[in-house]
Formats: sequence, C-alpha cells, structure tokens
Amino acid sequence: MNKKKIGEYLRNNELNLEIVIDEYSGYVYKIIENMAIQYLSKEDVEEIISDTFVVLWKNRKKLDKTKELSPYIAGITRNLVREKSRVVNIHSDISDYENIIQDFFKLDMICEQREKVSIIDKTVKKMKESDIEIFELYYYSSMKYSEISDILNISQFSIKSKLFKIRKKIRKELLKGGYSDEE
Amino acid sequence: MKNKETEEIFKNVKRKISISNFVEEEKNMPKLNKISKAVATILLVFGLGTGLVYATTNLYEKIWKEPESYTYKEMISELPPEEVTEEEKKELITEEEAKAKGIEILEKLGYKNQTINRIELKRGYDEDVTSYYMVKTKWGYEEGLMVQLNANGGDFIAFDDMDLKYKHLQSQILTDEEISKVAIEVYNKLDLEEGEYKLSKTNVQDYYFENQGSKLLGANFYKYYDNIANKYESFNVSFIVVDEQILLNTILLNKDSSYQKNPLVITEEEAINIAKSKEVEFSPFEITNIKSDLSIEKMNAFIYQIENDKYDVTSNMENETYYKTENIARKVWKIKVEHNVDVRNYSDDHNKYIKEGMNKIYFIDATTGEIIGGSPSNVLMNDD
Repeated sequence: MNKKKIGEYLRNNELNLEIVIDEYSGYVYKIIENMAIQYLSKEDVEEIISDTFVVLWKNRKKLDKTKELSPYIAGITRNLVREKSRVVNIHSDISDYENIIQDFFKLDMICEQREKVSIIDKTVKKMKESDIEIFELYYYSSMKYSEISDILNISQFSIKSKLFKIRKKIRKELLKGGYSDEE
Repeated sequence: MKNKETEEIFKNVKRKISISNFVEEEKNMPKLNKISKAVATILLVFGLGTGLVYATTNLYEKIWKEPESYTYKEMISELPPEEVTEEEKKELITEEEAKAKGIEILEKLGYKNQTINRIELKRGYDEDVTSYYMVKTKWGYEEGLMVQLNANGGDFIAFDDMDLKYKHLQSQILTDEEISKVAIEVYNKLDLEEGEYKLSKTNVQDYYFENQGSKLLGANFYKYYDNIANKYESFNVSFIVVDEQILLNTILLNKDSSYQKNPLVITEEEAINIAKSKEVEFSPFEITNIKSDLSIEKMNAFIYQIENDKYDVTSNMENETYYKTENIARKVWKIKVEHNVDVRNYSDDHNKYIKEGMNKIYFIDATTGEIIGGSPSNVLMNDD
C-alpha cells in the first residue's frame, strides 16, 4: 500500500489530483473488488472510482497534510460502494481510523443531488470538446475569461459567449428534467 | 498520466468537479441573476402596452409592458466587462477604506485584532450592487473570514467564516427562542435600524461538511409591507454552537429598491379567476388544485412567453430571442395552478408540456389585476 503523506501530493499548496489519480486508481479498484464488485456493473465501478476522487477534492481542505492519503481514499471508496450497492451488512475489516473517516466525509454532491448532477453530466458529455474544455478551465481550474482567452487563443467575447451558452443549455436540460430556474 | 485508463478517470473527475462547482455557483447566485440583471440596466423597455385598467371602481395605470426582446448577440455584447474599470473606480470607496470598514465590521461581530490579507474589487451581481469589495483575513479563496462590502458607499453585504466548515466540531441544537435571541443580537451588532427587518423564521439544518449530527442554526429577517414579507429585502444569519459558544457561519444582507408598494385592490377570488381563465387558454386538462397567496414578486416574462409561444426550451441558443421586463417588484396574488399530467407523456415535446401540462404559478398584480409574470411550478420539489 502507498504510505505517502498528503503533504507530498501538494503542488502550490493545492492537491495535485492528476498524480493522486495516477497512483491510487488501482488501489480504489482493489477496494471495490474486495467489497462488492459482484453486485456492481462496470459503469458503477467506473463511477465509484471517479466519484472517490471528486469527493476527495471537494473535501481537500479538511485533509491533514501530515497523514497518509490512503486511509482517506479507502474511507471514501467504501462509503461510495455502500451507497451505490445499498449493501448495509457488508463486513469489512477497516480500522477504527477509517471508520471515523467514513463518518467524517459527507458525500454531499454525489449522493444528495445525484439526479440533478446526472442531468448536467449527460448534457456536458454531449457538448463539443472545445466547449467542455472551456467549461473545465472555468469551473475546474477557476480561470478568468482573460486567462482562458490567452490559453485557447480565442477572444474574451467568445469565451463569455460560449460559457453563457453552456450555462443556458444546462439550465434548459434541468428544466426538461423537472428542475425549475427557481430552485 | 501513465495509461489511458487513468487519463479517462482524470477526465471524468475534472468534468464532475466542474459540474459540482457549477451547481455551487448556481446555488449561491441570486435568483434574479440567472439571466444577467445587468442587461436590465442597459436595455430599455418599450412602452407598448401602457394605458389604464379598471380594478374594482378605481382607475389604475397599467404597469405591464411588453418585454423588450433582444438577440443572443445583443445580450452577450451588453454584458459588462468582468473587471471594474478605472473610470468606475473613481466613484467607489478605495481599497484602504474598504479594508478599514471590513475590520470595523469584524470587530463589531467580535473578531478582534484581525489582519486583512486580501482585498478584491469585483463586478457586482445586482443593480443595487454594481461592484463590491471582498475583504479577507486569509489569502486563499476558501479560508479565513470574509466580508463583502458594496463598493459604492461601503455598505455591508455579507460575512462568511470560511474556516468553520473545515473544523471538526460537534455542535449543539438550540430552541427556536434561543436561536431568535442569538440572531437578534447579531442583527443589533451591525447597527441596522431596529425593526427595519423583522425576524420571520428560524431554521435548523444539517451542516454541509460537518460531522454527522452537527447542525447549522439560522434565522431569516425580512422587510414587511402590509404584513407581507419582501424576500428581496432580507437579513439572514447562520451559526453553530459549540461548548456554549456561538460561532457565526454566514450573514447576508440583501437590499433591493425595486418594490413599488402598490395597494391591494384585487380580491383573491378575482385573482384566481384571472389565472384560471388564462390557464384554460393554455391547457385542455382539468385543473386539479389551486393555491393562492399574497406575495411580493418581481415582474417577469414567463407567462408572456408561453402565451405568445415564445417559451422554447429546445431552440438553438444563438437563434433564440430573449425577453426582459422592467426590474420592479409588486404586490401580487401568487396563484398556483395544478394539473395531474405526467411529464413522461411529453418526451418529444417539452414546449407543449410547459404550456399545457406543467403546473404553473401566476403573478396577478394586486392593484391592476394584470398577469405580470409567473414561474414553472416544479414537479419534483416543493416550491411554495
């Protein structure tokens, strides 16, 4: 098992998710395999793997830099498997520390807004690659219009316009799915 | 990245985090900003529908005006730039003034000897807040104490203790009475006029990031007009209690000058009949339920678009026409009209569903009896 501390995965004081995914994807898969893989489809497994890193990212400010990363990842993964498979009686030999972590992380976005997020996810997946890139530069990398404009060599007007279209498209799809603008 | 599999995972993770941040942004964005309110300040409204309307025995001037329509390109080009210009800055308080004001507010709230490590002037999200300062005690976006101030005059807008959600705290629950007492104390600390905003309700909710069992306590204050709360003018506070200590989470003061304080002339029955008559034009289905309430709502183009077949959820965005009404809030009868229609019957025609199948809320002006807006009544969520 990887024994590296969380502090070793920080770059500019921010979690380097790319490296974390690179080093822990196999570990996450192993945990799922040991727990309940027979109950889950390939798509479910893929979803749990990516959701594990999403939850880790969302809770990154709570991580103790001096501790190992693997127990956190194990805790999140186990929680997601339980939530996904609805297997409540799975016996696992997790340590008390990992049990604490399981309670510690609320799988906020993943569980509570699954249906809404699923609509948005389908909408985004259908977008052009170039639009997804802009969407991610803005919402994942937290870049400003001007920075995205520099990177992609497109005018700020185009960036603004494309982001407007993306947001509008998502809101329309949410409306179709029964989620109004007023929520 | 070592292989295609991990590349694919990273791709999915980036997309999901982006979506999560988008959802957060939408949640935190004032509802009226869903289509930029800034557009409303720039675009004029045609006075095509002006005139007089009878309501009971008096004559009242019609207030509904046909919304201004504009193209996608016009809308985008009229959006203000992201950065506040040097010219605009001349009218605003300076960074130093914002810093001093921020510290003053933190002290009033009980945070002594704070150092400001970050100040940003940002484009506003509201006609009443065209630009604002974000004053922070720590550099990172998601840490430290944060105060938002209206850059035009320095009025308080918001407070947020961003560190709180990352602390492992087990909080206590208070009674409604105790929550009210704390909320009023916070209100008084900010020197707001006594009774300007009245306590409307208290709430207890699960704390977003915290340990299981932790509770976020809060209270909402509104300005009241004829016993009707104006949700556009509100003071909201949330906090947790740990070891008998109050730890503030957020405070939000919404000021809005758009309410026109129109008199109540139309009766509830008249308003229901107006809404029913319009709904019958739209829908062949039986109305299974009607709910009504007096409310203060902003004018919008929802019913106008449905009536004129201009509410198109399937149109190509670049060819779409957008509609904007005046930014005014009115006393209205809010009439919710319900059918029992399954959305799945309309999988091929969502526009038709919205027009004839979806439950709707009508805003009937309480003075003139005009339909001045409305909203889809959500089929999944309680929107009352």
